[in-house]
Amino acid sequence: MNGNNNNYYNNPLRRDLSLSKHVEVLNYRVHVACTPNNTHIVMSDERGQPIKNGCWTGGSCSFKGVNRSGYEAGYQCAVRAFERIKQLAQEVPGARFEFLFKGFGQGRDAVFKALMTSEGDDVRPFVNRVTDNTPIKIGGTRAKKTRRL
Amino acid sequence: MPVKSLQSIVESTIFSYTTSGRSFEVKGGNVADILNKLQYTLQRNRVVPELRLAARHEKKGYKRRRLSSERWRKRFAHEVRKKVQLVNKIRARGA
Repeated sequence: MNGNNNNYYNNPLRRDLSLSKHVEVLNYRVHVACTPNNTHIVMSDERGQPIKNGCWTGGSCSFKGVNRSGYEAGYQCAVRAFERIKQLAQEVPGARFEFLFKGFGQGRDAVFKALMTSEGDDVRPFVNRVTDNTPIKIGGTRAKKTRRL
Repeated sequence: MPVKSLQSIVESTIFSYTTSGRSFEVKGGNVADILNKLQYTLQRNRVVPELRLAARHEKKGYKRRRLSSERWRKRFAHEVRKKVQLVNKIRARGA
């Protein structure tokens, strides 16, 4: 209990200065999964439990088939996700967002661009952390055989 | 009541997680720099080419030859680098 006060994370100098003292940071996670067939963005709380109205996929943005995994679909998903982020940021005091990227499809570039441009202007001050979550195999199970077209 | 995840509890005691090497904190809304830093880290550790190679099974002969070639090229480049550094050191000494 007492040892916790000396922690890196409880250090008062590391506190988010834009928040008042009595507001605790509430971390939300934005999982961006960019597979070769689709992109999906899912918002969850810190534990990983998805929240209401927090899921957008390429297909849900009315793209079909090959286009679901494309740049445009990723961008649309990002735009909708940012709207929800802005909403949450207003409703919940101390809401902060962590972006977790999985996979290296085109949707990933789209979300990056959306964050950097004017679309993400209102989102950027609330972003806490950015991490790459792609599963990396070290040895592991045997992959599928070479694809010969 | 804000929900404390197991990860945050773990992080307050032990500071590492499987992806914490690829995780960066954003200070003051400076997302662009952090994204660049993330990209640079991934590129320097050759994450994307390695993932692409691991996506399909590589037969033992191909793998053996590829690794042997890569290792030789790394070794050669390192030797050249050492020689160049030595030359620069001697030049700086004034010879």
